[in-house]
Amino acid sequence: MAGLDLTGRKYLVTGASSGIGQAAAVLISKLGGKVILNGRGEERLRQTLMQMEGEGHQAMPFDLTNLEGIKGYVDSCLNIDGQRFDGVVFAAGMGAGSVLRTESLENLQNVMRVNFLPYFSVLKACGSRRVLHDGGSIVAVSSRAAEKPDKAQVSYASSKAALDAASQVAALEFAKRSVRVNTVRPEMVDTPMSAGFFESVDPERQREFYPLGPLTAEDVANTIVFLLSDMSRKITGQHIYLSAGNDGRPIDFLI
Amino acid sequence: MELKEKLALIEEALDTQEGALAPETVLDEVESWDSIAALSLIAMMDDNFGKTLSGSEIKALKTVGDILAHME
Repeated sequence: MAGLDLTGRKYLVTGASSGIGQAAAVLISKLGGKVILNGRGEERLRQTLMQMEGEGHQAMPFDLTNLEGIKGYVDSCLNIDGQRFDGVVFAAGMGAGSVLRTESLENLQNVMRVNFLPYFSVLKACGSRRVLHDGGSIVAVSSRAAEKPDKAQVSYASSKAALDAASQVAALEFAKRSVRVNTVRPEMVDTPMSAGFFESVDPERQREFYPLGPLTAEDVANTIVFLLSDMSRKITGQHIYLSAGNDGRPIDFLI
Repeated sequence: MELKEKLALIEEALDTQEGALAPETVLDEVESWDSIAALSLIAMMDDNFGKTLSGSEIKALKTVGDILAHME
């Protein structure tokens, strides 16, 4: 379908070593796009590369918590093939956290440093047409938690809410260039980050939370690619909630 | 670690009064035993004993003694 054709376009995907980032990178490649893969380890990025189609993709490892280095890293991603970006997928994130009584300041700062602060630096870089083409699209992976936080999510939910707010700001500031900025808010996705849920809750109970079946990384990648593509060209500043049929009940599965 | 210290850690995680718990205490009879307490317990086990309690292990806990059994 022409609307989802990404041939000739170049994308930066962070968190490309696993989960949603990996699925997004693979799907972009299947639709003809070229991907710069970001993650912390070269070896795991190569695993993603092996699943991808087409040519020209590059594994460019870089730890995004090195906030001051992001601008230089983005420049090196541009210089490697001389092509500016047509889009960015921000999928790097961590979900660890505890209830307020036992949550540490250290974890809060760590979660912010991984989930949100690099996004600010990436958005900043994308503000220039020397980095991101007019008409480009930025998609960040947020979470249901941004709108409906659960217990033990003070750090995680706050970081995702911050992502969403920053995206709305960027959407307003970049609209003149037709650069769109949106986020996806998935319910729990069957990836390593949610192993605790999927391994300990039996399928019947899972179905109570998710009548449509649990989200896979590919489900989320499908929506991400829609938002990257021309099919969503009039959508910006939005947060697409991937509900899997959840009726709003808390994801409370411990007792 | 002595029994007294272990009980103190559990009491803090479950947010009960000091000295409120004994090994034979049944968790369902502890007013503050809920998902928040379970999450605090998981954090306490991780910080003090390097152990990650799974969802099924949490479900299997019936008494304070069962918690103590994990605290090696």
